[in-house]
Amino acid sequence: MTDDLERRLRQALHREAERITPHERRTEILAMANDDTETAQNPRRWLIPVAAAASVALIGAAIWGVSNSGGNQQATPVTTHPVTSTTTPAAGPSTAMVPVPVPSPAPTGATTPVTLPAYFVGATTATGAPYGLYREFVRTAVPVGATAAQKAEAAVAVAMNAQPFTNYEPYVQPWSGTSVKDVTVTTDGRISDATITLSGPGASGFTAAQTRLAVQQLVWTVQAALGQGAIPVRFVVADGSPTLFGAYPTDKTYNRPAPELQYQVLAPIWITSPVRDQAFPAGATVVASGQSCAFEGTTQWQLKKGGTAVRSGSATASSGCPTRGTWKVNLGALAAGSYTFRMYEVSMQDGKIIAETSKPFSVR
Amino acid sequence: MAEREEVGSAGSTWAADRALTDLYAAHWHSLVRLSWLLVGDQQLAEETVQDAFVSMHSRWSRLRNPDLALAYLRRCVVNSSRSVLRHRKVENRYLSAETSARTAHGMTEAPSAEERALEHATGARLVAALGRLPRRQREVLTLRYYLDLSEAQIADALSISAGSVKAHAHRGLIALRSDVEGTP
Repeated sequence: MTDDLERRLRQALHREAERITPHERRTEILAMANDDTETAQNPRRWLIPVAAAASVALIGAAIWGVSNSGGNQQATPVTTHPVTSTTTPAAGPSTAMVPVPVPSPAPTGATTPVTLPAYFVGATTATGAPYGLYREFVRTAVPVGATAAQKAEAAVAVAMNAQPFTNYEPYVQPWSGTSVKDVTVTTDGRISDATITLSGPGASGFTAAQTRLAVQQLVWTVQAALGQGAIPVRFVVADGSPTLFGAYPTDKTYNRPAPELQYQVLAPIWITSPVRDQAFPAGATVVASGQSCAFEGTTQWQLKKGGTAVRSGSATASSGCPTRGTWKVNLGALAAGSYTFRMYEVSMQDGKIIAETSKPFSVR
Repeated sequence: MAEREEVGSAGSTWAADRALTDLYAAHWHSLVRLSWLLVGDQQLAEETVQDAFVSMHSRWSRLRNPDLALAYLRRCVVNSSRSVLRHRKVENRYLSAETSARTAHGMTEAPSAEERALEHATGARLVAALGRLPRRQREVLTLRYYLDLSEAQIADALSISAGSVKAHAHRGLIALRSDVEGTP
């Protein structure tokens, strides 16, 4: 009888659908929507890696994920070039969402929680230098109905204060003692540029490489928060300083590097999942993922439990350097316990570790 | 000195964020599961729906309505799921898979013998038979019996007429019954 068939089909489909538990991606989606205008226009990033992985995708195992990296025009904090389009370096959150106090210029009145991408300058090896930018998705609050400029100001305020992260991430604080006073934007149908007003020119005692990244850090952060691509960014120093860190003139505009040069700015390896201290339910499959800019896209990984490596392997990203690619490692179902996932790149020349990062997580 | 931005542009972005958040909370799971039913791969299903949400966000200024946005999401998910199958040339593999070879990162290990027997008795055969139907019939039946959409909503999601929906559903059910019950 058809009615019975329909009832059975409805039950079967629901039972089949409930065999999976979709992973949380809200933060990632919001980041892509606001941090990646090109993605919004051409959201089929997965087609490229999917094609490459077609032979294994349905069989099981790992699925090589989304590719692409991006950004736009111009390396380092120098001058601005005309902007074409933007892709971001990432589709996913780079680390745990860390609650941070409401940024200073929040007007009185009701606020609403918001998750904003913020970039930080951090060491890319266990021994320190070189440095690169890492991205964090930070939960903070902005006034209800905040403008894009206000959100950008909140994001810049978060990025300038690495203190909440320094206990466990290799971040430095070149903006220590400096605060953001204002972010304004110019609109001409859409936001065409942004101006960040700072209280001072930045802290002293940092290397040229670090201060160069510190300027880039704010450029990337404000661009990500505004979500309008690689728009030019200007700086104004409230105390009248003509330069940032005594080196970068405020009468010029700054932008993120062209995609093929972003390896000069971004940390070579990001682990976007698991996020720091993420807890997985026992029995669930744990999939680590992230981005890398490594030779031939190849990096090594270790899964540590109690300081001992219990598993290891290599991963191949969707692209090799200088193009930033994405990688995934299917760790399978893990026994309960505390773990650390470590990803690193070994130099093909001398076998030394030239980039690494790690994230602790647990299975309960 | 730059001018302050206009409220309209920022307000639109803000509204898009809010809409995305609300729609995500209400429909993320069901849309991923819909895509999973269509493509049989959790990772791809999540990426398909993720892209749909990002696309919806960029078009919010034109949609401006949660119902329209949800309809847009459904269209994106169905179309993208179809593209996944087409591009990866897995449809034949999927259709010929009597037993599920789905890739679900959120799943535990393979079901036990008891679970397998139970599934078989309660619907696995039906799901497998559904997978053997022509693509359009499979989509119509999935939208109808998983999401409980009306004929009009299915027609919108698949960009076909309501009459075609009715015809595909009718033929699909007859073929299903024939397959699982051995009756014409």
